[in-house]
Order: sequence, then structure tokens, then C-alpha cells
Amino acid sequence: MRSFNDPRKAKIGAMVLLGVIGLLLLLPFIPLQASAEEAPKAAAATEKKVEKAKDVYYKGPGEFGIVSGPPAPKLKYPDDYGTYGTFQSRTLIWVADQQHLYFGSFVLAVPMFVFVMELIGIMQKDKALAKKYDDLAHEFMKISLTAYSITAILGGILIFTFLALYPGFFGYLAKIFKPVMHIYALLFILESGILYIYYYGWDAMNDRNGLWKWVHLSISLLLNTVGLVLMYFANTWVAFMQSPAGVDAEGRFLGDIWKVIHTPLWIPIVIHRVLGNAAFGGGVVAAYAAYRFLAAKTPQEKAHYDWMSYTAMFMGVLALIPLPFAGYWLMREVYAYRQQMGITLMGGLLAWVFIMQATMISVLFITVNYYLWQAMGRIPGGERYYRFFKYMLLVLVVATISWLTPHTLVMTPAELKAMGGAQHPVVGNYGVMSTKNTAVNTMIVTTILCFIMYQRCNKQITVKWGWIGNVILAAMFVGAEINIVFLGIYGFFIPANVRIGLSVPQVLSTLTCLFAGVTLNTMMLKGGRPIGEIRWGTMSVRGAYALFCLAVSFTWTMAVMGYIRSSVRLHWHINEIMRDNSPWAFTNPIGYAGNINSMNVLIFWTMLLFVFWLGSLSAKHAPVEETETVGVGKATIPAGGH
Amino acid sequence: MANQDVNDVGLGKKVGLFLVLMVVAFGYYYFLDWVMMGPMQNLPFPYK
Repeated sequence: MRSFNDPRKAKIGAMVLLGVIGLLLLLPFIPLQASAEEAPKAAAATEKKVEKAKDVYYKGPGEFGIVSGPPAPKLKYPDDYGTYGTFQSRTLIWVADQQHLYFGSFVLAVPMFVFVMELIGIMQKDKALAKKYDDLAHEFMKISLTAYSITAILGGILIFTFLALYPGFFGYLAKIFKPVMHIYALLFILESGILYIYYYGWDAMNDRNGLWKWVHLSISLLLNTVGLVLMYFANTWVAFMQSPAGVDAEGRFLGDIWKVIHTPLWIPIVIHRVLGNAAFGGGVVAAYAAYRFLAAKTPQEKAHYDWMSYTAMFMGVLALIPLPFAGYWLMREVYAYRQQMGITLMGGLLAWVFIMQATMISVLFITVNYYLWQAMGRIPGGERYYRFFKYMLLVLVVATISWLTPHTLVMTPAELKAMGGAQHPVVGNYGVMSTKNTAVNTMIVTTILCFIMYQRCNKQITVKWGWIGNVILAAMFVGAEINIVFLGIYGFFIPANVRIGLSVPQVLSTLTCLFAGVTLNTMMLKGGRPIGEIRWGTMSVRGAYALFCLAVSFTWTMAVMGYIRSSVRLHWHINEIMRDNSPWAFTNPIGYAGNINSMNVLIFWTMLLFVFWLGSLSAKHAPVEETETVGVGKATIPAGGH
Repeated sequence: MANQDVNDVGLGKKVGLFLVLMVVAFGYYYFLDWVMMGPMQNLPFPYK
């Protein structure tokens, strides 16, 4: 835009825009302020008939609160439930919920990557590279924009499904969350506004590294903030359903909305979901890039999408690595909240679903490693590491088998009798958390090692202390693995309540390898002699398919874990407060749950293919402009670009 | 020396340093184990 060239006008314009958005941020909280002023008057008027009741969760000084709402209704079937023909209402809401969640997660995750990409672009000194990152961020955002509309449509469908099938339950939940419901709606409007300004203002605000570009980046930060707050809000409902607080045993609201929001499992669920969304978003964008990579006609296009798929995969994996630890923390909090709930999850009814999850996560880690091995094929010098792949695969497979070993088996009564219990006399001893924790940490350490090799592929280390660095790395990794295995074995000799704490030092060993190992490796590579340029665009087709496998595994894992988290409430809509009295209050057999999850994955990917196709329609021109590079063999990204 | 290959150093020297560093690594990891299973258990956060 021409007017942006005048620095004074640009400055004023930028300030006004940021100011308006800042004021908009305050908008959702205005009604709250008003109600806060009215609250004392209302309290004074009803002072005489104040009834106090005990909070179901909070203890101590705030244990008792003024009853401020009706009790949770006792629902009856069919009066309080709706049906569509002979379909199971629960399955319908399950599908509606899952689809909304998939797209919601995706549109929440992508702006996080876009922010990082745009920032990297701004920080780059090399102009061509800066533009590449900027274009990449823009392209990420374009995919997200179509998905955003679909998310909104699916959100609408979800609400209608709730109103039609679970009116009694939804009415109660709406009453409890009444003081903050409008904030969610207003934030959603704000999110849309910021998103459109951000996306459509991309080129208009692009004055290289000038003020407008920074304003644009700030808008990205705002977009992410609002997106996260929206997600925090949405999670208050599920957390309240699983571990209610701020109400009494009858479900009467006790007047403090913060307690209803801040239930014991809220923050652990949020953290786990943010990381999960980021990993999932990275996987989906990597799959999009892999799809474009396979469909690309020119070497330039192939190089661009090869690079894009690697970048997206890398971001996804960055979130994947801490994800199991966030999961363990969530489980720890579940145990702290209700031990029985933890046992139902890990050792009872749903334990076999966790075995399914273990399979999926093993697939994820093996696929990431496989992709990196394939990707090393495009890096000169990578062949030095080929001989290690088979050993790494061996470690990954052994870890997978250890993780999959069940503690108890599903058997017929005759089989049960023949074996003398649900626990296998030999194998049963090993299907415990000590082994599983050891397995997952080993897999992560192996993946980190694989990444370190990938980083080194095309560099000859030239720093004088290179050999010392190598020995330190070896000691660090061998030491960590010995410690992980030692703690795993030690866990068999101590009581379960002490054993559960062992996962923390195991994790710290892994994290040491991640942070100290990768940092040391990066330092060693400084000033290294390049063996050759990365041949972007020459990755094997199998590598691209590995990315599809990765993305679908993420999707499936999300479906399985969502099912576990939701069904652990058993026959409760809201745990211990509101019973599910519909005919579908039972826990599904694993086979049925598996089928519905697979169907959800299929529906999501069908819709996503539509989004990808739309993306390719509007991007018929090749995004790579550095056509002076010679064919495929020359990379448009410097060797150190990874 | 700028172009020195990291493999130029003798195996004995590498193994010697490795053994010394393994002791250091063990000490470090064991210290982490001890801190996490001991003093950290008495803190209100993040374990309570």
C-alpha cells in the first residue's frame, strides 16, 4: 500500500490498529464488570434467605459457598433425551464432537507455527531465505483459513446436536457456565476478526522488516492468545464434566465461577491438549506438503514442498516429544483426584484401550525415525550413518514390544481357569508401568539420537574439541539409557506408590539428552565443513508416505485418547453429580469404539482432502521464485537451513 | 589444525575420556534421581 510508505502515517496507522484490537480484547469482560457491581446489591437484598453448601472439591476456607443455582436435574429417558431414528444418540454426539475437535485443534495449532515461521523470516538476514519463510507461513495460514470456516460450521452442528439429543444435560451446563458463556462467543468473534485482518493484510502489511511487518507479527501473537483463551474456555466444560468443582453434591452452583472453571483436571488437560494440537497440526500440514510434493510437476515445486513437509514435521515432533510427559502428569492428577478413576483408566475397564494407544504412539515414533532415515537420503554425507539404522530399529521394536505387553488378558472363563487368573504367569509380570515408562523413554532417546545424526549429515566437524564433544555425547546418551533401564528394573522392587514417582527422574534423563545433547551437537557443528548441499526435492516417495502415516496416526491416537478421557466418566454426564440415564450410558466394547474412531478419522481426512484440494486450486503458480538454481540437485535452502 | 578430523584422536584417549565421563554422567543422573525421589517429594509443587 502506498500510504504505508510515509513513515509517520504508518506509525500512526499501526498504533491505531493495535489500540483498536487491544480495546476489543477488553470487550468480553465489560459485562462481567457490570455484574460484579450489581452483585453486592443483589446479595444484600437476599441476605435473609442465604443458604450455604459444601463444595464437592474445594476444601479449606472457601469450602462453603452461597447456593446460587438449582440442583442438577435428574434426567429421565425419553423425556430429557432426543433421538434420531434408531441411531445411538451418544454415537452421534461422539462423531459431532470429534470432528469439531479435529478442526478446532488444527486451526488452533497452525497459527502457532505461522507465528514462529514469520518470526524466523523477520530475523533472517538472508533476504531470499526470509522471503521463503514468510511465504511458507502465508501458505500454512491459507490452509488454516478454509479449515477455520469448517470448524465454525462443525461447532454449529455440535451445538444443534447437543440441543436436539441432550437438552437436559446441555441446559444444566449452560446454567452453570452462564456467567462466562458470552465471553466465549465474543472471543470467537474477536478471533475471526483478527484472523481475517491477519490473513488478508499479509501483503499489504509486508514492508520487509519495517514497522508494519512487526504489527503484523503482533497481530499473529494476538491471534494465538485469543485462540488459546478460547481453547481454555472450551476445556473448562470437559474438565467440569470429568472433575466438577464450585458446586455442591447436588450440583448447585455456589456462586464462584472461578472454582467452576478451575477444576482439578483443567490445567493438566489444557497443557496436554495444547501440545497434542501442536503435534497434530504439524502432522497434518506435513501431510499436506507431502501430498503437494507427490503431485508436484517441477523440481522447484518438489524442493519447496519437500522443505515444507520437513519443517512442519519438525514442528510437530517438537510438540510430540514432551507430549507423553504431559500425559503422565495428567494421569497423576487423575489419580490424585479420584484413585478409582485412574485405576479404571490404567488397570481396569479401559486398560486395553491404553494398549491401543501404546501401539499408535510406537507407530508415531517409528515413523518419525523412518522419515528421518529417508530424509537423510537427500543429504550428502548421510550415508555415514546408514549402518546405525538397523540397530536403532531394533531398539525401537524391542521398546514397542515391551510397551505393548499387557498386564492382564481378555479371556474366556475356560481360558481364565486354565491359566489360573487374568494375569499371565510370566508375561503378566512385565506388563507394568515400570516397563512401559522405560520403553517410551528409550524410544524418545533413540529419536533424539536420530535427529542428532540428521543434523550432522552434511557437516564435517571442524572444532578442535570435536572428539571430546563426541565422547561427551556418548557418555550422556549411554548414561541416560543405563539410568532409564536401571530405574525401570528398580521399579519392580518397590511399592507401587513409590514406583509412580520414578517416571520423573527417567524423564529428566531423557530431557537432558534432548536439551543438552542437541545444544552440544549444534555447537559442535558451528563452522563445520559442508560435505554438500541438501538436495531438497529428492526425498524418496516412501518418505512422503511416512508423513501420511504420521498424520493419520496422530488423528487416530487423538480419537482413541479422546474416547478414553470421555468414557472414564462411565455412567455420569458430570462425574458423581449428574447421572446419564439414557440407554447409552454403558461403556462400549473396544471393537465398537475402534470402529467409530476409525470412521471419525476417515470422515476427517475426507474433509481435509477437500481443504487440500482447495489449497492447490488457488496456488497454481509455483511458490518458489528462486528459479536460477539449477534443477533438483541444487537446493534453494542453504545447507544449514534445517 | 582447523581441518582436523575428529577421528584423528587415538582410540585409547577416547575410551579413557569416555570412562571418566561415564562416572560424571552416572553421578549427574544419580543426583537427579536422588533429588526427585527425596527432597523434591516434600515440596508442595509440582508433586502435590
